[in-house]
Amino acid sequence: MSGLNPFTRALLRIADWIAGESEAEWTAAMAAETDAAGAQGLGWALGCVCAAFIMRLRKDWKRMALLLALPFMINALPIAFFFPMVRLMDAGWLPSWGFIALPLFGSLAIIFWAGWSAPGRFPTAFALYLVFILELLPFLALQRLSGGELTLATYFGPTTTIWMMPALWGFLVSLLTYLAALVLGYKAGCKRRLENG
Amino acid sequence: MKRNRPPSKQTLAALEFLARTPSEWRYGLEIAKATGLKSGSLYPLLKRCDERGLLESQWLEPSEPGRPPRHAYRITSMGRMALEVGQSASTAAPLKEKPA
Repeated sequence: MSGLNPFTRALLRIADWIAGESEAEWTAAMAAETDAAGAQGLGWALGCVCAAFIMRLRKDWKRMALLLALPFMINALPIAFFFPMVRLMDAGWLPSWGFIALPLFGSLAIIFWAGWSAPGRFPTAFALYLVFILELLPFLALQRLSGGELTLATYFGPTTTIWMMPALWGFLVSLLTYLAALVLGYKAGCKRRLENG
Repeated sequence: MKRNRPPSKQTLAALEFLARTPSEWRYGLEIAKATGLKSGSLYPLLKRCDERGLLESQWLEPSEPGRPPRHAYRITSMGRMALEVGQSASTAAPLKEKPA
C-alpha cells in the first residue's frame, strides 16, 4: 500500500473504521484493490467508504441509525430541557448551575452509552462523526445563517463564549469532555465484556 | 427469517461476467470494469453473493513483488443456477410500458 497517497490511505482507514472488525477481510480486499487501481485509486477508495457504510448498515442498521441520530439528540437536549428547567428554577427546585449541568450530563451519559455498547474496536468513525456534528456543524450552520459573514476568527473571537468560557477554550474543553465520555464508556464496556467472558 | 430476494440486475451482471470464465479467479477491479459498477456498490454485492454461496473468494498472491495479496472471486454452481433463474425471470417478466 506504500504507493497510495495519504488522502487515499486516510479514506481506506475511515472505511475500515466504519465497516468494523467483523468486516476486516472485506476492507482489506478493498484496500488491496485500491492499490491495484493506480491513478483511479482515490475514486475507488471513496467508493470503499460508501461500501463500508452500506455493509455496516445491512449488518446492524438499528445501531447505525441510532448512532447517526445520537449527536442530533444531544444538540436537541438543551431545547427539550429548556422550559421544564425554567419552571423548576422559578419554583426554586433547581439551582442555576443545574440549567447547564442537566443537559450536559444527559449528553455525556448518551455518549458514554455509545462507547459502552460498542461491539468491537473503539468507535473511531463515530468519534469523528460526533465531533463533526457537535463541534463543527454549529459553526457551519451559523455561518450559513449569517450569509457567509461569520468567520472562524469571529466565532472564536473575544466576545463569544462556549460553555461559558472564552470560545476557543470552551471548544477545546467540550471536545475533550465528549471524547473522554466516549473513551470511558468504551473502557467500561470492554471491562464488562471481559468480566462476562 | 431470511428473505430470499431474486438477484438484482447488478448481481446478475457480476455473475454473468464471472460465468464467462467459471474456472478463473477474477479481481474486483476486473468485475467493476466489465459491469460498470463502482466500488461502492460492487463490494456490498460481492459480500452478499459470497454469503449466499453464489461465489467463492480467496486471496491470491500478487504478480508483482511488494504488492499486497488481492481478493479474487469465482462463480459457484449455485451462482450459475441463480444466474440462469435470474436471466430467465428477467426475460419472462413483462416490460412495463412507458406512458406516452
